[in-house]
Amino acid sequence: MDKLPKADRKKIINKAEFKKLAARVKKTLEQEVNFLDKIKSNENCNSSRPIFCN
Amino acid sequence: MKIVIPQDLFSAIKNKHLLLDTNVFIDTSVHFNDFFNFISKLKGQNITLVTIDLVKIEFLKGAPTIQKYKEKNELIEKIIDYTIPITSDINNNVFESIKKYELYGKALSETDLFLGACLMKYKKDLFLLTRDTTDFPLNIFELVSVVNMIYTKGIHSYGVYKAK
Repeated sequence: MDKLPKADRKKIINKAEFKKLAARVKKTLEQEVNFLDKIKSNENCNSSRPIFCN
Repeated sequence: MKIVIPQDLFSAIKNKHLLLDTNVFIDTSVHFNDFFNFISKLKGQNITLVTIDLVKIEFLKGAPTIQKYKEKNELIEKIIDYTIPITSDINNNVFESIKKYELYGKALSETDLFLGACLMKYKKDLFLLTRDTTDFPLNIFELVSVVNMIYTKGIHSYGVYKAK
């Protein structure tokens, strides 16, 4: 049977620091989702229907 | 917000490895407090948190700047203890699992296939935590436990799976 190697388990020591990092990543993810939404909405964009263009 | 962890979860995966899907990293960013407590509890039970490069790629892609890429990568590295290397037998498991998934496999991402292939290789030691509960059918995988996150606007359910 295959065994996974034992890894040194990291502790998340500083909750406040990790919280700040997570908040920054959350903003990045929101930015990425907004970009995806914009691309998707542009799929409806063509010369005959310019109202859908971003 | 509240996290509902079944009593049998920790006894089932204590001292084992828990493979984290992309949505766990996303949800840790979005619902920090609940996930921080959950992750801390997992680490407290001697559970090794692992992932694979394909999950990292899914989470990292789209980062608009190098700085934001680094922040996303730092978040992953703060959570996980180990990245499972993709070996030739895991690759072989992917091809074998495609045969098992049959037509259903058409809807799966490559990441899901590789996560499943890892579970098949490390049957006794490795469990998967994922919110994509439609991607791991019960004819191939065993649902060990369900963790529920109760939010103001709804409930997210995370399955804990192992290979049969």
